[in-house]
Amino acid sequence: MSAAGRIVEHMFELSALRERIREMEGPRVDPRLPVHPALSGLIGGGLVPGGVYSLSPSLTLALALATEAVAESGWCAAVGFPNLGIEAVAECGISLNRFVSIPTPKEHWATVVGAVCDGFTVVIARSPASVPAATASRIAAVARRTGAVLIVLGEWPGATARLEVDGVRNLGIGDGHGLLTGRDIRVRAVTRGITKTAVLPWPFDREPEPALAPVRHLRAVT
Amino acid sequence: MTRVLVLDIPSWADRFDTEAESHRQFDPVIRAVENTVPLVRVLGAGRIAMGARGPARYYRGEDGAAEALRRVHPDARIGVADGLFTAVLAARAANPVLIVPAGDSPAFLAPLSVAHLGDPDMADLLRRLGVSTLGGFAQLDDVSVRDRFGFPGERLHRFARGLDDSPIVPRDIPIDYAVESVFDPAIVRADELAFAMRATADDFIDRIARDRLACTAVWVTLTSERGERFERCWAHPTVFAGTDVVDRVRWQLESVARLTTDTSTEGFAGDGIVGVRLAPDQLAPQSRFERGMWGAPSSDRIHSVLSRVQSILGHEGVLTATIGGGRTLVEREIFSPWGDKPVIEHDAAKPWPGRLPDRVPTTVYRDGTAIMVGGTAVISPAETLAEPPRWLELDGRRRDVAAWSGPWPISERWWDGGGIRYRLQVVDTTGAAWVLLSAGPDWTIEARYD
Repeated sequence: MSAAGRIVEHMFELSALRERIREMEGPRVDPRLPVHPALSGLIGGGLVPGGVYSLSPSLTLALALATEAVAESGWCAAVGFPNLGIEAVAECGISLNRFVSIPTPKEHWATVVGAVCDGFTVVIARSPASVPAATASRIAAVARRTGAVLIVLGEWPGATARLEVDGVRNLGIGDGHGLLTGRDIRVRAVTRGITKTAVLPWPFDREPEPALAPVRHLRAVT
Repeated sequence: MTRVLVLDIPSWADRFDTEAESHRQFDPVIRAVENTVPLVRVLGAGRIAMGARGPARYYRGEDGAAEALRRVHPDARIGVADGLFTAVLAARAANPVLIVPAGDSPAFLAPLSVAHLGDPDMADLLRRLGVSTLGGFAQLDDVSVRDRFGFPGERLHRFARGLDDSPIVPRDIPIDYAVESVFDPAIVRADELAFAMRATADDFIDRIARDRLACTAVWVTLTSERGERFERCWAHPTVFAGTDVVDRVRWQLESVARLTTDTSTEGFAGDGIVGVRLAPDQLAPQSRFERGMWGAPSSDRIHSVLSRVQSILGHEGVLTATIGGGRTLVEREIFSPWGDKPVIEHDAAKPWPGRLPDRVPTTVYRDGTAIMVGGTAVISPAETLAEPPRWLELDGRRRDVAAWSGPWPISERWWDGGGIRYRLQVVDTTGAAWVLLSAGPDWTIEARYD
């Protein structure tokens, strides 16, 4: 049956549709998607739908960016990570019911990333050694049209923001004793030529240790 | 009273690891029965019911029919009785054939336990009323049963009195939706096969859709030039469209070709396909899906996107994941292709002594990548390292150790003689943190915090 026919048949659903349209026509809210508080100051308060974020190769950083945007609803895809730890994905708060992994897209990388940007809320992808500018702008155009957030581990020409890990402090582990209980990850972000730094605590629900915290204080004062 | 014949293979489901597998393996039995009796109703994996009158006429009597059907499977047991309920219990009691003559149901049922009603709450209630057999239940007055237990109780009461008259609805899978394509010359390449099947698959789905039904699982049977048949049931997260069916046909040919080239030099390689049969395994009213899709448009969208990706990368190219039980990170991860049900062998919730505590690493090495650990990283009998690790070497690059901890034993499968492995946590001077596993005197990388 055609979509139109279905609507006619289910009049009560038509009114539900009207309701949804009303919602969509309502006052515009901030379109930015929530992000871990430690990172929100680095990227202007949240992830821009349709934005491309280029990261140095840290899956922890990628998950910190992605988690809150898909915590309540929305789907997350990981493209090109045969070694992504699934338990870590679940542990940070991404529902595995709304998560798929496309571990080895091989030579179809660009097609696959473009395809998943058309439907998924957040796409985490490892970029090949170099992404041709034409390919990058084609994929970015899909993301802009659909509002998907693309998080790329690797270089990306014309990225919305570039974030890199600037140093890590490992906590709890000593010289033959203890256990790794946390990591303070210093992140440097460059957006439109402006560089900012922050400390991302891992696990994400932990407060950063004070020794590295001044970065946050500085941000608070300005 | 309708005479009903039930074929039962005891503890059929226990022979298979998964429920899906038990159904899949039961299908040839169903087919074999259907060769003899056209209208059967599958009650579950391992159990089929059918009207007894037709077969009895054909095989000259109910005992002749029972004998004929018994040959379908060596463990098959056959019960014939008035009504489905009694026939099921007769098959359960049969060794290997039990025929309860017409009108004898109440006598057959009387000594059996009320547990056979298949309603634990009702059975419990009856026992507390001092009624423990179906005969005792049958003696209760039917008006008071209806007053006390309502309609469901009244129905069970009819069962206990041998008055079950539920109709034998033929098998849920109408055979006439199945379609078959024949190719001459034979088709070898998967993409050619996909192209050739396009129109057939669309017709197949359209015919089902015209009856306001939706197909959620489909059997694909490929027949090779040599007459070999490769059969598989494909499930779909929502509803099959024609193109989805074509994809499954293609994946099946690809996997069959891979399977046979891997295992033998003969077999399927180069052997063409001469026939493809499509048959629905599960049909459901369309209305159920229309509403579902309307409520969750995004998952419909996701599905069409992922189907497209699967048509590029193959069925196994898109994975969903769940967490199962196990001691190492790799053991705990369960991947299954999008559209397939995950098979969970071990329960994640059970305690798994030796597993990494929560806060697990983001990168897991699935291929047992070797790493050199500098110093003498040999485990002493006292379960300590003979010397602290000084460096790690991976891909020819040496990293100095800044901090380390362990080793912790992971005892696993001692009953298999698997022995004890050890786990070591190491932080190098660049800040990277590693989890290593001992493999005899050598080390592999289990995971990395990055």
